[in-house]
Amino acid sequence: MRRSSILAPVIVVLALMISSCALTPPGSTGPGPGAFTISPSTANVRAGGTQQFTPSLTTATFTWSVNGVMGGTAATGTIDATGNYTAPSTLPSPNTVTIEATETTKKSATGSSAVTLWNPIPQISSVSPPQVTVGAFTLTISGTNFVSGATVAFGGGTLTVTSVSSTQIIATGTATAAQAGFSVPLQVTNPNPGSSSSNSISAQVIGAAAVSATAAARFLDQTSFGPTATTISHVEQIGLQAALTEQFNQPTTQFSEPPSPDTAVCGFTNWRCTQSEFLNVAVWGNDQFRQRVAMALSEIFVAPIEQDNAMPFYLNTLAGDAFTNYRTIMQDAALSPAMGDYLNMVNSGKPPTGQIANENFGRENMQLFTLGVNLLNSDGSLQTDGSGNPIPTYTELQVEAFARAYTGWTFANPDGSSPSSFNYTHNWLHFMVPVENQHDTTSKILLNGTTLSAGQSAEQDLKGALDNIFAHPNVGPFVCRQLIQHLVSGDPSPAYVARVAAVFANNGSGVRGDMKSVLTAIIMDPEARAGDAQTGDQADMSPAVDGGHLREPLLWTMNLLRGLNAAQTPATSYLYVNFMSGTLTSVGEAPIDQSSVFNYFPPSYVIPQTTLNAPEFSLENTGSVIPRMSLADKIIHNEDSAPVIDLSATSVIGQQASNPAQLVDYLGMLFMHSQMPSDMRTALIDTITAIPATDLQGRAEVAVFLVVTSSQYKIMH
Amino acid sequence: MSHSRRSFLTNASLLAAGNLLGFRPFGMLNALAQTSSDYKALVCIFMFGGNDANNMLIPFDTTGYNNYATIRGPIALAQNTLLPLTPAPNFALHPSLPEVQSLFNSGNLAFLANVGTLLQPTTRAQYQANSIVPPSNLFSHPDQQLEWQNQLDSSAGSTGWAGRIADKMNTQYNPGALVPMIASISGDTLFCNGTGTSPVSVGSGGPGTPSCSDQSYCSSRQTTAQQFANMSSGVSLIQEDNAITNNAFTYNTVLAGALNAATPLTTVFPTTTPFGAQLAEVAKLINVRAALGVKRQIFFVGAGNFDTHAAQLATQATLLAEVSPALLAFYQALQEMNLANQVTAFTCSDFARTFQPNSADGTDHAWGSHHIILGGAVKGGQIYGTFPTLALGGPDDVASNGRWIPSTSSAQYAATLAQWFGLATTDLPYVLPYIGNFSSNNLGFLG
Repeated sequence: MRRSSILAPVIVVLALMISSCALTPPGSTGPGPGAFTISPSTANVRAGGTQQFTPSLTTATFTWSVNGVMGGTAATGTIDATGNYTAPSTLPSPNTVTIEATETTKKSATGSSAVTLWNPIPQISSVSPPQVTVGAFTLTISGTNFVSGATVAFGGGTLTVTSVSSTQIIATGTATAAQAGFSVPLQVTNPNPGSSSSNSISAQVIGAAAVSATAAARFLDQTSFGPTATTISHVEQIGLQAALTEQFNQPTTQFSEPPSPDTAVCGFTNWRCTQSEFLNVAVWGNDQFRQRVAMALSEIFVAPIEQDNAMPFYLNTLAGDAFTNYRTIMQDAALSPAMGDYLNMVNSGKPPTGQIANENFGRENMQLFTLGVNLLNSDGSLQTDGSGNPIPTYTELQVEAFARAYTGWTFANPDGSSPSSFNYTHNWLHFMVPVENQHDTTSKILLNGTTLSAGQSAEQDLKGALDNIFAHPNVGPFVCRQLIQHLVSGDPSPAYVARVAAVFANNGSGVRGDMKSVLTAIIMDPEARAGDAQTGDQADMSPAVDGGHLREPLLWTMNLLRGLNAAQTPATSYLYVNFMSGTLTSVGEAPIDQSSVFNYFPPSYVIPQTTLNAPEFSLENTGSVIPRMSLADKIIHNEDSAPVIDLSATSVIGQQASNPAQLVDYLGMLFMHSQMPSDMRTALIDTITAIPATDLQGRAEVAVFLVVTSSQYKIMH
Repeated sequence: MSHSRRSFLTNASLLAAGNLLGFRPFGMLNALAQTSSDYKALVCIFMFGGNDANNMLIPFDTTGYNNYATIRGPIALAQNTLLPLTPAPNFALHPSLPEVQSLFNSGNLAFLANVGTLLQPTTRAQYQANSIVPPSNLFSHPDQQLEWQNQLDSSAGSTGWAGRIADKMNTQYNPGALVPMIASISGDTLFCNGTGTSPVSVGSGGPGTPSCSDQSYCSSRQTTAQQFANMSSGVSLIQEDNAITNNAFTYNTVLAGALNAATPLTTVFPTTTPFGAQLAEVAKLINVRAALGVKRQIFFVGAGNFDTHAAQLATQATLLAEVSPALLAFYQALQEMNLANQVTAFTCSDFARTFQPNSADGTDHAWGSHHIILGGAVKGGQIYGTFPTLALGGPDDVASNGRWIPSTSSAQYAATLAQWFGLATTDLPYVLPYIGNFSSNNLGFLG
């Protein structure tokens, strides 16, 4: 010990000289004959861990010792003939040791290293019980490498540790009401020296319901692809705001690239594989709200390309952008290769004499994605001129100017770089890139007299054009009203639109177009929440808001599969190509299959002979009602290539069929926000009761069919 | 809020027909209806997206063709590929229209040139000086589709001109009918909706009852479903959806029964395209007119994807090749039913497209267009209306890109069809509120 402590600084000095004095002639000031170093010269090694030491001489053989004891001891750690040190499982005191190597043939030639021993990294394997109730609780944490003095973090706080062994910690604490419904992460931290934390494992906190089952289910109908028994219970526990936050933080489920070229799995185009994957994402994805918003966005920024692998990138872009800013969405949609191809912005060149620039994207970007054709008030209602007529938002000349501003974009090279001229080879995996010599560099007069000056690049003109549109006061009311229509109600009150549009204009922090704020405003608005507190008969006969909307066929189908707990399969097995691409066309809506940029249905649709604005009713008529019923029949009886539904006597739903009222109330909870009107409930119980109790599956199937095909269910309100 | 969608159901026999087990025996209805030979039908064929009629009906004389080819440049069709029109030698057709060519040459098909939405006669000078009220939101697909269908001053009007014809004619011509006067084979369209009448929608797969795998429970299941559909609700949308559901039960039962009992037509349709399948369905429904108890019917079918902003030549060639043989098959089916003189089909579209091409070998949204009228009652082999001057910045151009100001109003087009169908002249203003602004309400292509 004494010797090594004296020599150690000398060795460090020598080592530094060797490493830093390459220009010094060898031998002049270097180490003396027989001196060598050990690498590393200092080390931190965890209890039970190992560290390899290597001498600077490679030509000699060595003996190794720990604190002067050849080969070391159990208390200080052991070292083998190759210099591999194994630290003791519990720390000695003091927690430092010296590793020394001695050249076998020259006993006087030694080198050493100073080792500091650290506590091990704890590892949790389980926690018992896995669920705790709000209030005081005691938890037993099992695992390895726990050391005395370890602390346990629980959510944002710390538990009181009452005992620690190397494999078990017992701790007590208090779960707050705010934690109810959440999986709260637990983590063990060992103390210094070398403090470190374990993996994280969760305990579920159960508390009093934060909101009613009705509120939870209504919220889930608005923010997911349909409530399930599990998600209703979860939202009941954590409340709506926390559920929104949770969804905002969910990472994006990615659509994968189907195998290319087109395969037998997909059929004639890979687009069909993406349609199949849509089912997986919608029914089993964790990012339910994100994907629901992405579906709404895909029905605003309509760009279905039914070939190759065009859709995964586009859908991933919309979902990834769903909680960002509307300006971001505008630009990403504009430059997506799918949109470029669909509305012809890709390879739209500066027009030669005798031709004009392609107006397709320039027009529809304003008409459908951002502004609408007529000037709006901030509550979404039409502005009118002195004669009471609507006022057009833009002129044909402005359409032509935007068309020129968007010239000069092409498909990227396979590596994402820019080609030097227009590239007609599809590249669906990268945003479009500019080709400046195809950009129309003349000046353009846009909205409100804003001019893009001559000589700007394609990118400058694109950003300038989108900024010009984004700043227009129509964007907030135009877009917010459509988002409300997709998520909550087809005919929102002007005041509701105005409240949300105000948040679009300024999220409270001076940001325009902030999607999280806009979506929160839509979902938490009193008009969206008014039905939460009503009984079934109140909601049916005297609704707090006479609103809601028809479940569009695609959403309705996903609602059924989620509610009926369809059996999950891997997304990339593409099992639902025929179902999603073929069967759903019988009800008028397969995913990413709009027949034009005007979506499956127009936002302005008014039910004939009424004043009810109800976009989805554009698909609802005497020719479409029956096919939807037939589809329900097929799904319920597993007669199509949809995911498997279990309504057998032993299934969750089938088991309840022995008690018709219980079955009906369970379906009412699952599908109708626990708000099934009493006349419907009575009729349904009577029908089910008439089916023999020996046929529980038959009861379940008939009951589910009648609920999900009823207008009372199809109208989400 | 009105619930007159339900009004059709006030007839007790129809409520009975809504019961799966209670529909009437069709033999009796056949006997009632077949006594009348007074039958007429109109078939509206909507070419969604804006058909580029500038490449459908083309000047064929040397001067005319050369002017066309010079301006259209890369999307000009070669003169030697065009299909000549014998009775109108200065014009020729797109090469994908041989069946249309033969129907024109045999006198059973006519064209109406440069027709479009207009509220009053309009000149270039008037348009540019803003001294007339133009149709609202020109050049916008949905607005122009809806204004073709509603013949009102904006797309906001909630009834269509066929629906308003039914308002005026249904009671007189179709008393006791089991289905509405109007049937759409192309979904819900404004064209079909009246103030007091509603259409029946039929998928091109035909009508039917819900499939049921609940075996012995199917009957009670259906009874309960109908019970649900008759429960009243304070939620307006539930009321509306219930009304549609009730009508669906009624109409599908009636239609499926009538079609199942009918002798199939032998005419073969090109049913591999949705458009051919739709016209085939129209022919089937006309074939059971007696069982349905109707003497006047209006049908709506649609063909899509005419929005050729790029690759105009290839796209339009494919689309017209779907339309043309289906039109011939339809005409042959009418001949098979001895109804060629009693059924008239006609095309509509959002608008025509710029005569000047864009830099993507496509064309953009324009206005006045050329349309097809087909049927034995058509005074065929003629081009009606006034063909536009094909000059950029010329007398018919809105500005300088070849967006033709219509020389004939779609209201005049509709008025001619409606009067042939039997609409009283005195009812024209109800159906076509702006018809009085035009000098003629009959273009003479039917007689």
